[in-house]
Amino acid sequence: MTDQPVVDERSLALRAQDGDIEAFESLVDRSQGRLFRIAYMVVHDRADAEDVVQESLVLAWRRLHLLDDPAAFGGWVARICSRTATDLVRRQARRATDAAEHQDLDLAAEPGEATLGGSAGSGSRDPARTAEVNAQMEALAGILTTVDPELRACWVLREIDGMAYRDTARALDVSEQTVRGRISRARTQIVDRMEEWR
Amino acid sequence: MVHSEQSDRRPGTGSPETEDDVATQRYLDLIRSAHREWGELERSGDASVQLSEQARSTIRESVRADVRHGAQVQMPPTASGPYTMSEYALRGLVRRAVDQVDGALALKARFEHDDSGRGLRERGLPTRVICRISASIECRDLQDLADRVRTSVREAFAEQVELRDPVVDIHIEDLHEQHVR
Repeated sequence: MTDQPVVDERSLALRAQDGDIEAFESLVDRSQGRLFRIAYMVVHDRADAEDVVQESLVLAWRRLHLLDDPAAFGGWVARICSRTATDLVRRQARRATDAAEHQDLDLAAEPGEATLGGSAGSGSRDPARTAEVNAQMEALAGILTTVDPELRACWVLREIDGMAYRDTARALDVSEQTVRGRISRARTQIVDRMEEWR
Repeated sequence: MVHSEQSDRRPGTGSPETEDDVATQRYLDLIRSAHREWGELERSGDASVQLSEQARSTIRESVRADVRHGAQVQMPPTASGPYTMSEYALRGLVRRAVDQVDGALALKARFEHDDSGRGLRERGLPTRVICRISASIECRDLQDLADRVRTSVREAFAEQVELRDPVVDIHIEDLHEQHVR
């Protein structure tokens, strides 16, 4: 048995800035779930969300030397991710591609890979419960697609990621007042959609 | 509470306030439920709420292909002539030297050089290395730890690149816990 240091996010970020690839890979492992959640809620497509997270993390690696406060790595990379996701949604809207039918998490998973709430190898999971889980996620993500991308990213960072108003404002490069306004409008739109879909 | 500009114009059987309250409650329930479900899936390690292994592999490959090697650094000449090594390699050398000291964890290193370098992409011989490290909370003698780290770094420089006289500064700027594996 050997003593292994318990390495926190700040230390990992400092080591990664020093060029330690393994440290950055640990940061990837730690942050990918959070980033995937943000990306999926903004783009509502598993494949696109994966692309967004990949692009964000590779960009983070390239720009790591610009990160002044290594302890803020998590918020910094979440900011990159939300911007990347919002840019993608904007581009898609501009092209009016309405992307070949949004790819449900269930359908997007590769053979042998997981679907939301039904991971590969979790065959013992109750199918009824899985369906319920999917329904909750899909309902929310589906409602969000009808919300303006700027409001959506703001709302996701605050309500899904749990970011403070101030950090959300920094992430989106807007004022705190703007954040509060956007979240309020997003909430209103979401509540209205929920009523319409009932 | 959700503030809706249209809340008091929405048709319904109950009062606008009551309908708003019900809608707000449904909204909050949905958020709470989504948080709870997603959190449970994450905690159980469910692959569906994480990046696929393929995506992680792509990130690893991209990162490794995009390593910033930094400037070349002059090293003491050998019998075969002068040579340089990258800052990236030099940092790796320092990190390994720090990490092998019990109770020390390398964080980041910075170098100062003499003026033998040629331009921005080639630095001179390292004259000083400033090592930022973290110490184990179980370490009772930080001065001793700093001395052991300094010795380890000096030995690594001497043995691996025959760099014998740089000043080695040790900055202990953090503490970390140890766990037994």
